[in-house]
Amino acid sequence: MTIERSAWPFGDDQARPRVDGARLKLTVAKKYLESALRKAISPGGVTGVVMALLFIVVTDAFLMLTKYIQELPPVSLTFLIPVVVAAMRWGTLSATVTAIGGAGTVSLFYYNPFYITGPDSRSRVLGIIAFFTVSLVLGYLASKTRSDTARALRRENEIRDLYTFSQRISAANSPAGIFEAMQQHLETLVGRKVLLFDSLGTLEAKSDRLGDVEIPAAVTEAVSTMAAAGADGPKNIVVDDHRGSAWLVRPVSTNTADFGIIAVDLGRPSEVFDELRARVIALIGDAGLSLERLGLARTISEARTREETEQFREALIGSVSHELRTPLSSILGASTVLSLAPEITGNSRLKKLAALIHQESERLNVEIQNILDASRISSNGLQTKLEWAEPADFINAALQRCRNRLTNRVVDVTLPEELVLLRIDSVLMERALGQILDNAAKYSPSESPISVRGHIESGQFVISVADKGAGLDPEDRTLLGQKFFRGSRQAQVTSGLGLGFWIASAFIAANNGSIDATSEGANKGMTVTVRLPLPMRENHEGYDGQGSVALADEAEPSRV
Amino acid sequence: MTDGDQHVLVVDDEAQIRQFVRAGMELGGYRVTEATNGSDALREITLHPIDLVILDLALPDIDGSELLERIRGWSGVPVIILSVRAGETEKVKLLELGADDYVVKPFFMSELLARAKVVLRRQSERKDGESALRLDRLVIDFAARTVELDGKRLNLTPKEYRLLQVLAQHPGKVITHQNLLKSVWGQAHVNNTQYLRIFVRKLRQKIEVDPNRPKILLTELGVGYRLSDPASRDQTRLD
Repeated sequence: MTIERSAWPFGDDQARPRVDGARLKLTVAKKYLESALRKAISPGGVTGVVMALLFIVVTDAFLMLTKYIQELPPVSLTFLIPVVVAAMRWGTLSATVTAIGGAGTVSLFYYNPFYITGPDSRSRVLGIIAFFTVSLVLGYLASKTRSDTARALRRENEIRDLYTFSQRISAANSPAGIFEAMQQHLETLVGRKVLLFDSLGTLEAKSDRLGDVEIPAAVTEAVSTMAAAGADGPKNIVVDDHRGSAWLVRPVSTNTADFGIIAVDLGRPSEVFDELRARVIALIGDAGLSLERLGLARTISEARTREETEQFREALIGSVSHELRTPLSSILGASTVLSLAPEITGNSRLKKLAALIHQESERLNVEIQNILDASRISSNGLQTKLEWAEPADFINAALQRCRNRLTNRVVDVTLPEELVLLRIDSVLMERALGQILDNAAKYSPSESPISVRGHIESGQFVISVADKGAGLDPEDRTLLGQKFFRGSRQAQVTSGLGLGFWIASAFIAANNGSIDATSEGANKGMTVTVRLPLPMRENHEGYDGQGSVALADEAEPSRV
Repeated sequence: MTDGDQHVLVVDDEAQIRQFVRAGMELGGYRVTEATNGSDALREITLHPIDLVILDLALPDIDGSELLERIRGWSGVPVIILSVRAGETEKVKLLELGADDYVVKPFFMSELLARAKVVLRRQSERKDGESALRLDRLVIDFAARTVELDGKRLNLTPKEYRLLQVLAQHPGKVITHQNLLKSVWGQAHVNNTQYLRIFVRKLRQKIEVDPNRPKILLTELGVGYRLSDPASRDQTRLD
């Protein structure tokens, strides 16, 4: 602790470091004793002392044994091993006891304390003191390392919890999700059943450990009292739930009401109850601070806004779909009645006009449907109902839907002879393929052929739709998957919103498939390829992938 | 176009829809009565001999599917549902509740007329109690349990025959996957859609010219299957 004179950079003022060094020594000693005393009364302390004594005996036995075999110079250093081990394992008290015991036995075995007056008695006493000091300091340092390690471990766990928590928060897209994550985080921290209410006293998240048990009325009451009182209200309420448990109710943070109110089940009141309560309050306080640091208040309010926007959007889409489609239904229906009426079918000019109304309202209907689909995709409202289905079924349905656009065209359809079963939502697939066929028809000359080919290729069912149309400029290809994209030349000659390919991609992705478009270049036609996963054979009960069937069919005698 | 003067009840709260449906149905040769809500519709069905009900699901006083259930409580009158809700689950539910068919808005009048024709024809056949069904090149004789294609007897396995029989009991009507599975394989297998896919394929290989482009045993995506009805072949669909 003393500092070499030459190393002291501040001139002649030599007194200071020494005084400081002495003070430091004193503080260390005081701290050391304090912590040793504290440890001694704890249950772990007794084990430590017992183990320390045991250690000394073992080390002594070892030294005596070696002395028997071979006379050795004093090896007091050997005692440092049990001191360090005791300090690392059981803490300061154990280390101290080992140090004292070690020093005692060293003096007994090697220096004979009854004859310390001798020619080198001075060096012997100094040796014992030196040993004792060294082992004390070493013990203190080792036990400090031990507690530092423990603290680091605890902090690491806390950080891990906090990290899991913040990941959960970023994944949550509604206030309810955030409260759910907060509840779980607080529950992990506190280690007891936890209920979390928002600042208005509405239950937001409930402990899983609580099961289906009702929330105690006393707790709900205390929460609403606290919510009503706001910032001026009581900070802690302890209530009895009349089921043998006491609950602590308090705001998660004392600085903001945004994090809501927490209710913690403290269990049966006992003598350590006050201590437990104080610990839980401290933990909640810490948790509240870390929630503030995470900027959670803003996250919650953003989530609220997002939820409101989402609701507004849903309402808008709902009303668009209703308000636009209702009159459209009448127009389309009425136009089809007109095309049936003899007065009109007999007059070629009127017949053409009726057909025009019919076609255009149908087109409008398709565009409205596309907008609705697009908004469903954007808002993640796409729900798939995956079922075993034959690709031929949705391919035929898509061709049927597009048949008005495909009149006067040769559509060459090639499908495998054998039965192919896919795990798909065939309604979504039909819509996706409909979009692809519609694009093929839209962007190719009205009488050019279109081919639709389905085949199995390396564990996938591949559908390719090829046209002989405008194709795609290489620079447009990367843009194809984008919403509202339309090829630069296509945009000038054909109408449409450019949602088709984007919708098809989303629908196909929802079926775990992929879509790709290739073109040799402008005016060389385009091939759109859809790949859908073929399910593993063992997942098909009774289907071996070759079209033959392992289902019992001939069990009853055939009368047919 | 129809035999006699068949009476159709159009139940919809929107005047525009009633207006063109009335015009279209009258062009098709039907007599039309309109109702704007559920209770009026119930009264009409009780008081008059109605042959067909065209029912919109969104009614001001009572939900359309509930009205359908009530009608089915005492009457077998054919019901075609009009709906803006195009979900497959919704369609399955309506069919199980006893709807004969459904048409999703917006729709073509020709489609509604075609469906009405099929439903009414099925109804009159049911009264006649025919023991054989002729579908184009296919003849199913229920009494003899035989199936002929172009005059040649087909060799069907019992399950294939049962599947065809269930569909042929209501030609033109969509039979849901669940109903088919229940009738052919039993209650325990209502979710084994793959059985159905496999047997439909086998049946199609026997009765269709090209099983990949079926003309007789038709798929209703996400809902079920139906046998084509000669009367509905020219129908147009938009949903």
